[in-house]
Amino acid sequence: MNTYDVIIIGGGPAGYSAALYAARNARSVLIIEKLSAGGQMATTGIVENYPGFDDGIDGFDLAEKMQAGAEKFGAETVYDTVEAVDLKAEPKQVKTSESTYYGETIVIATGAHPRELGVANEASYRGRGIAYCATCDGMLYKGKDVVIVGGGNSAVADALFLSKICHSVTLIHRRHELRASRIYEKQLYESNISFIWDSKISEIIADKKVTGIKVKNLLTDEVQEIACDGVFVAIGRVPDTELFKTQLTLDKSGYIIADESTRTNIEGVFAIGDVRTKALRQIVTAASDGAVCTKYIEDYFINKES
Amino acid sequence: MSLITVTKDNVNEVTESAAVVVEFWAPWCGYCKRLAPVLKQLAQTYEKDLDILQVNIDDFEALAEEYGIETIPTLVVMRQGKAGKLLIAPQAKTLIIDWLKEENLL
Repeated sequence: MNTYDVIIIGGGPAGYSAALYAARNARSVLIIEKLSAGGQMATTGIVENYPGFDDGIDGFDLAEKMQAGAEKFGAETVYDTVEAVDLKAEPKQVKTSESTYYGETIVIATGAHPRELGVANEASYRGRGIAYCATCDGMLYKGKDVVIVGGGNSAVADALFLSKICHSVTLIHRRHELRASRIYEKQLYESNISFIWDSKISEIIADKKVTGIKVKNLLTDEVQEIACDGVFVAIGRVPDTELFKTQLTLDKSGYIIADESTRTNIEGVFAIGDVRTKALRQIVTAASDGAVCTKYIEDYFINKES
Repeated sequence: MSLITVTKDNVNEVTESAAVVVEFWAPWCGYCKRLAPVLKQLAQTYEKDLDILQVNIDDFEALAEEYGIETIPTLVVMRQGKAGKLLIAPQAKTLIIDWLKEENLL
């Protein structure tokens, strides 16, 4: 039985950062990734807020660089879907559709995904008019007309942010009032944001990129067409923690409870990147977690030996 | 499996092959980029089984329309031009393998 020092589940920026650092600590490292490198970053389009790339970098290209960097130092990648894990076994086990892998430590980097609208063509137009992160992509719509869907704090904060950059911002919410904290109210109503209540987007209108949307009023069934260059979706994020919920402690939104040390409730198991409870979910904070967990991995090995 | 770019010279393979996987994609599609390395790996793993014809919908609009392609990437198995079940923007490599098995190609 071949046991790796570190098995990392998820090949996004957190995973490959952890892989890079662990491999450079002379650990045997396996990354298990279900599709290809990058996770959410890979379909983002241009990334302008990862430090060091003053002309921006395509998310997918950055993902491939991160993978190449980790593999240069000996990290291995296998492309497969994890079906089950036993985090308390010795060694810990990760069962995929094709095999079972054994690791002394497990690093969970499965990330989260933005809740989607669920309209046709949404996947195709991601990065070409449909975006899930205003702070990431807002500048791409400078001077343009955008809509934003959602009614919570994220949607409102994003709308305010976009209103300073875009030509127009229209917020579409399925209810008649916002769920967001009242602290935003004054700013919102003083801004130039327009509102469409009790409605949802029923269709995306696009050619090579988004040119408009159809909005349906949920009370009257009336449909109106609105021209826009961008659609921001801010209806929540879903952590990818299904596999771990019976073994790891999750917070009330489903994220794995792990602080800045990335340690979970099980020794030798770490949670890094978007999947853990944290204040700011960005590529740079994911990469930071990846590096930090390796310090605690070394501590784990030292404690085990003594 | 080999990855074959469809051009006007070989486009007839889409409708004339006995059994072939067709991928509808476009250079501006982010998810298609994400899928590309996965298809390359599948091509290497299942070398002898069959080919993937890659159709850029910008160059072959009519063909994409004929097969009702609305979202990309879309994968479909064509048997003499007859389309099987569409696989749209698959989230994992295992889902593609499962689909190929359902379509009796693996």
